[in-house]
Amino acid sequence: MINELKKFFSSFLFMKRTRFQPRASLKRVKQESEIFRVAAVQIRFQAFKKVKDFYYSVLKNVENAKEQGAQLICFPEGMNLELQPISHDIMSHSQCTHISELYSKIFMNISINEGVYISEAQKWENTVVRSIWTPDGHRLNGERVSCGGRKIVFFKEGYNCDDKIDLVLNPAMTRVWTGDYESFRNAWLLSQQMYVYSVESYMVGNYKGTQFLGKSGIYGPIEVTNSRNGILALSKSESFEDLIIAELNFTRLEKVVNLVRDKSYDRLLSSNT
Amino acid sequence: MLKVYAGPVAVSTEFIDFDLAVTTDREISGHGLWFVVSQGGISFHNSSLEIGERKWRPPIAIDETIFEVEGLKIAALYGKELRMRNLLHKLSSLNVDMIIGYLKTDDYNPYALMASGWGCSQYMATSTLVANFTKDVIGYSLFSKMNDFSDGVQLLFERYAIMNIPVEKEKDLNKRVKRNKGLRND
Repeated sequence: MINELKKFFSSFLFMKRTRFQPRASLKRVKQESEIFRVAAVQIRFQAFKKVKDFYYSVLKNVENAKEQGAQLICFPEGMNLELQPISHDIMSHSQCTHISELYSKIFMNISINEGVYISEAQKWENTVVRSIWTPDGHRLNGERVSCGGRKIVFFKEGYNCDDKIDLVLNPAMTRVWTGDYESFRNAWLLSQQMYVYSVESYMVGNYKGTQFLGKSGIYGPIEVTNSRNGILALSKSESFEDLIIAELNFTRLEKVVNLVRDKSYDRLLSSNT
Repeated sequence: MLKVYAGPVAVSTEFIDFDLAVTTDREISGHGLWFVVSQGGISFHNSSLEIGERKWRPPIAIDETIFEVEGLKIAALYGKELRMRNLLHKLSSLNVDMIIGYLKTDDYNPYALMASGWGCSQYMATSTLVANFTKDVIGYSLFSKMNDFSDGVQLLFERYAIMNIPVEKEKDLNKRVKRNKGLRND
């Protein structure tokens, strides 16, 4: 299987790179940086026997999102599990590394060829590695990244930060879904409390006998949404695939932030009393 | 459990034996512990004697937001403060037992209540009682930390209600129940 994968990738990368024009896409994103279109992809788990099938599955989602104008496409956590022939707890270190490299190459290649930013999160036994692939093939990871002129962080429970951020990404995979209020407890709430936009995408479906549920969403503070509910786009189902797209208007967000920002609190909150 | 009444003073006569009351009326009962929430601030009264007040302006010290009510720490927060993560973080380090919030909105908007009251409860893991002033009506909401059995919305928007709020300091509460029998026993 591994030889087959290598062959597929070497031929594919060679074939596709000629189409690559990263500079043009980056320029476009920067020019329109006040309006940023993002997509959240909700994936229903399936185990792929062939890497190329996985590749085309990711590509199809990216193409659909791009057709609707998405500049950043957020995939859920744990998509690397779709690519693993066996569970990672019985794979050797070198097998894990190899799968991880293949998986990364797929996202790098698609982001280059399609000229979009892609966010993905690899789930390993004790860790989750979350990254953003840029249209020029760079991998951005870490707690905070700068992407298309915007400061982006990955969601963390209890996140608290004084610095201004523009967007929070939450690639997620959860077993517990008690009801619609689950949609509000993570990214939506952070948007309300930090006055930022947020994108949450879930892996759903059955993985090794465990049912994963979740409703992907794109959120902002209630003050920047026309329906005054903080929801820019919300997945229709908690157990099926979906693609949702929304436009983030940073000029509108900035106006709201300026209205609620009160420097009188800075001293109080920075002091030790 | 802390038994709290929220609503007009006149309606409070329907209930007996509450420990604490929250109202927006200016004239309060001569007995019991009352918080009076208004568009200008919040005051705390014990047997009609005002013993604490907070105007709705940025506090100079964090203590200004906290009322000590017989061993319990109750924080009073104004509108946008309910969504200030840094402020909530600071209050949670002070072991606040309960939050009373003031929220003014043009109309009834459950999402605004969720963003302020429910969100505050999720972050602080304490109960939050919000007095929501709209153009036409004043409503009370109660939120708690969500868990496997509850979504955290105890009361979304009611003109008056009696509610049970879990607090850890049971010893102090036992004393209070004896002292405040509600208006029917006046």
